[in-house]
Amino acid sequence: MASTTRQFRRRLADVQFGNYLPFYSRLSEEQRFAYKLLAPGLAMMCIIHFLPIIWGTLISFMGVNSTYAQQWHRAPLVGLENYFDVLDPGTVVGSRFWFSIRQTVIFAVGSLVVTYVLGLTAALVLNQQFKGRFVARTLLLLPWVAPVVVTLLIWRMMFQQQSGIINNILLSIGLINEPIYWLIGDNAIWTLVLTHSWTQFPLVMIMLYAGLQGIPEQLYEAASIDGAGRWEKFRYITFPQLKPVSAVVVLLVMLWTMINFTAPYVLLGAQPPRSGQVGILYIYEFAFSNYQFGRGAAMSVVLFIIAMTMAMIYYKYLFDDDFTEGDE
Amino acid sequence: MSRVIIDNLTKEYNSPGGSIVAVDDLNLAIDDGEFVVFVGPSGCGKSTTLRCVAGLETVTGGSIQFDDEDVTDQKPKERDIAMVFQNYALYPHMTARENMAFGLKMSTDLSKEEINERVEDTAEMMGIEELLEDKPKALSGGQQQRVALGRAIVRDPEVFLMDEPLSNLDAKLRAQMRTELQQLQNELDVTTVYVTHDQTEAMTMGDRIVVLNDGQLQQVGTPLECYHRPANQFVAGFLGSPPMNFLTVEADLENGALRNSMFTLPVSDSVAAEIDSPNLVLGIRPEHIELTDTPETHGEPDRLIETEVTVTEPMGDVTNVYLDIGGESVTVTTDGKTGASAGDRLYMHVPAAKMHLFDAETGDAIKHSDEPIDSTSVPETSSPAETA
Repeated sequence: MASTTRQFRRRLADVQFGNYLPFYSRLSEEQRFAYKLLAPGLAMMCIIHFLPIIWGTLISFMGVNSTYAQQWHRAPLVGLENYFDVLDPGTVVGSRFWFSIRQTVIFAVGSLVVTYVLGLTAALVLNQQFKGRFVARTLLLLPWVAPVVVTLLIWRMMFQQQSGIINNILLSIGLINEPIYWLIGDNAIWTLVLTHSWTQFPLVMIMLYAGLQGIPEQLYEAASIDGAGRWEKFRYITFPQLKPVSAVVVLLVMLWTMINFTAPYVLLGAQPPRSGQVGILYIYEFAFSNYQFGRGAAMSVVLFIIAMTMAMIYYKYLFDDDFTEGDE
Repeated sequence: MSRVIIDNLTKEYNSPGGSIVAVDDLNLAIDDGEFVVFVGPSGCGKSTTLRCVAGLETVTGGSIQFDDEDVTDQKPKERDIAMVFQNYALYPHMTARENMAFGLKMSTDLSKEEINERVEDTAEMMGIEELLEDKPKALSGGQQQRVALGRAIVRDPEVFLMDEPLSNLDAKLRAQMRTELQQLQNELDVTTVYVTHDQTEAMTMGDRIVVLNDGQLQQVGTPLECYHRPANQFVAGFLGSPPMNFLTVEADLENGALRNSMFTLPVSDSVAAEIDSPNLVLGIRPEHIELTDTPETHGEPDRLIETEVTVTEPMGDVTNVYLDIGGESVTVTTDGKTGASAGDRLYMHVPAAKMHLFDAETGDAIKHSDEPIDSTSVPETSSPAETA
């Protein structure tokens, strides 16, 4: 094993990037090794992420529609026209796009609140000493480990208005008198929030659980002696100590939810009810059903900029020097 | 201030291999305002005892009383105690001010202004006014230590509990804080239980020291009592640096002597009367041995043992000379100007008055040295433990 690693290192050391990258020759041996290890990942990132982003941005400035669907590069350059169209609340596409952004924010913030509360509660429970907590931990991870499409389809079945088990239970215990339309009408967005949160909370749980494990026991002992009760210990020790992990969790869940396609698409379909029409579904429908690729791309870029701006503002104000303070 | 009474305290931990007894039937009464130091090697149960007093551990048996109140089953917050931890346990996300105010905020009804005032008064006393707005991360070890002490003092508790509070400081700062802590405790006059594994701290700081080993109480007494009248061989060997020398001997009562393959030492009739076991351990402190290279002019030639110097350790003011007596090593603390060097053949003098005798099987003390123990001064010991 060790000799294989050595051979690998030696081979890697022989790779001569210096011929192509002028700055490369100024790097130390260790830095070069680091770049070589990063290279495959970066190459994949380029193909999967960066190139499509550039391509999409390019298309957003071109009039790519059904006419040019086969030969997008022949489409005329239209400047910012696509952007004016989709951002103008006066047009049909514009007003629907803004509505979908609103639904996206509800989807993201709603999911964040539900996943965080569920994840934190589960993490706090797992962090207690009780028999069977390893089994509990495995069970709680299932929603995340299971294939997400399967989970979503099961939820979709359970949420059916007539045949779904959820309405059945609610009716039989007398909480409701009429079956609820979960997947159509105004409830769709909340059903989406709940279902998506279900698939995401175990990840939040595991991250917060790891954070909890990192809090020194002595802080709780000191707090006990200082006279803090259970709630005060949570309020003044646990919660502040989880801040660095929470910051990452919040950022990730927000971003992942904003760009999540699977949950809305599988749960609500390609033609979702109006309330369930989150940005990404609307863009998909608009671009691929109407063959309006130029405008669709423009909307994607807008969504991308909104998500990035939110992340940057968040990063700037919450990830300041306080960010690492919980480490010790 | 409180009187603390520990009554038949037992603490057992369950482990896969059966239960482990950390504290075994401990009895102790700590007077109001007294500074008591628990000392012993790692795993002797001293920290566990302290944690039981704090309420951080449940006890398996026995009781703990503050004055006449049984606090055995009370939560830490009900006990009116303050504790200083080895690694300070300051809340990393709070400033020094918030750290110190936290206890008052949790356990009293004081207004914000009153809390602030008390925090600032205490900070002034500790000399940390300038640091109040800093977070622990920005403070040095010594400063963190002061904040941790301040956090305990500001509470004005009935009992102070300190769990090796100086162990994380460097040697110089430790010596300085040792003195400061004593002064503070004198001023505040609060009952203090202090845990340490460092015998120098135990000797210099405590009104009384409590020596523990394997969860069992070995001796309680003033530092000098424990040093000069050790109850058993463990206490004798634990206190003092370099430690007491031990030589196995056999009692030859008919001839009034202690014998070893290398030497014979006469014992007085009064001492011989105390001896009831043939197998003994002779103990003698390094500073009580005298070295000579002219046995013929010595006043007590029958108490001289011929030895060979193996190593000398000049410490400046004193020199530690290591001798070999038939495979057993003996340390002697001599004047720093000694001319002894490795390979020298010297005679060591074991004064009868300074000699200790222990039962080889039980370890119990049979005879002590006659050093006075009512003086308040502490025996001069060079202390490499300081740098340990």
